[in-house]
Amino acid sequence: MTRAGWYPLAGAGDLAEGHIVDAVLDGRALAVWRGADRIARAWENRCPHRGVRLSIGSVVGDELVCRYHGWRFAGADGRCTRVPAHPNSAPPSGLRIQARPVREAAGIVWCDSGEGSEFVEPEPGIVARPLMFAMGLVALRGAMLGALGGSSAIGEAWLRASLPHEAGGWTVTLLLRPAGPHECWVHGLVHAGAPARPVAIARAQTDWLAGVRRLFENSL
Amino acid sequence: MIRLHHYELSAECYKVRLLLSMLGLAHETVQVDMYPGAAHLSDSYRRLSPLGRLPVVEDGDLVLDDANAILVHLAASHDPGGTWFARAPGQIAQWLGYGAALAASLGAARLMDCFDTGMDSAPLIARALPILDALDRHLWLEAAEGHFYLCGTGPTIADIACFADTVLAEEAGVALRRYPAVRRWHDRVRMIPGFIVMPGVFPR
Repeated sequence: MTRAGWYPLAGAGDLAEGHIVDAVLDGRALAVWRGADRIARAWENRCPHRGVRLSIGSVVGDELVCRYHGWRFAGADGRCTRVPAHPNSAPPSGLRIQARPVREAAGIVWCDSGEGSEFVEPEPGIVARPLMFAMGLVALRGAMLGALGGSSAIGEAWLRASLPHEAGGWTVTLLLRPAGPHECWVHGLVHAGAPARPVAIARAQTDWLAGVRRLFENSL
Repeated sequence: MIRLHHYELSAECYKVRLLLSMLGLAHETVQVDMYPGAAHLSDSYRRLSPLGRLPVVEDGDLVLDDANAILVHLAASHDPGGTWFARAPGQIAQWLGYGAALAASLGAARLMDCFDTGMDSAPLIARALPILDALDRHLWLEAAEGHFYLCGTGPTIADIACFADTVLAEEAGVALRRYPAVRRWHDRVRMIPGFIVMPGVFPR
């Protein structure tokens, strides 16, 4: 387990209304979704009925519908609102999906892996494409600090680094999300002011980070 | 009348069924019992496709036994709006190539597992992962500019060519959560009018 705190799950723009992201935070499988009320939610990715992943389900209004038997769960409190096989009886009142604390800031959807952790707002920037690395957070953080010249740590899950000069030279904040013992996601914010085409900078960032990943994969 | 020779569980055949449905084209179908019957290797089927490939489309005197070729033919000859291929042929042809590479790696691995061949699909998966990553990169960057399909703001046969094998990736043991932009694009493809499913593919 990694230290409890707020970790990025997805870019706020990548979590479109009606979409369900399948994400893992510190070994905990999450269905991250946004209903018609535009609120981002992170739920335990498991239907309490038969254990199917809710991330293969669908969003209808402000409710999440399980793919298997169509059980519906209310975004507001995670309670079951409808069991299609028993349309005339009230759904079991004790059924409730566990929701994790979520907030949106700096263009990113964040989740608290614990309870009541303090949220520290990162320096704003252009939201980068998240990339998965096949390493645990501690190993990845150490490898990055060693391999990226001029990089520095910000706490235990963030790093400050710079793209190479030929890739634009921008400063980036890398935001690490532990998924499993050998899986860590790297989200990022690129500090490049307000350029005309932010996507060109996001492209330079993801191609640089993919190169870092190849470097680590080849040295494993 | 267009005649499609196909097998229900084949992702290559699903590509053609998808486009026929999205274009709303009348056609007749012939089921080919690929597994376990191996009907695609029979003498009669080999008169249509000497290599025993699926699917085959007969359209008048034309016989095609390659999914990409069929997609191009249908889009070029039967799409009055001209939106599915003609507006970016070079770009679309590139993604048709990616789709073929996915079929030869991810798709082949899935068939190995589903048909219980006992063969090791790991080398095929190793070839598929960089293709999935390249697809995810492209789709993420395009979506950041408001383009929600592989080639711009509307669907083309490029989307169909890359959708079939990627949406079935978990049947080949590849977790799609590694490719969030691909998952999001799957949602977009499901919204195209005329979208149909096959076993293992969920509707919207």
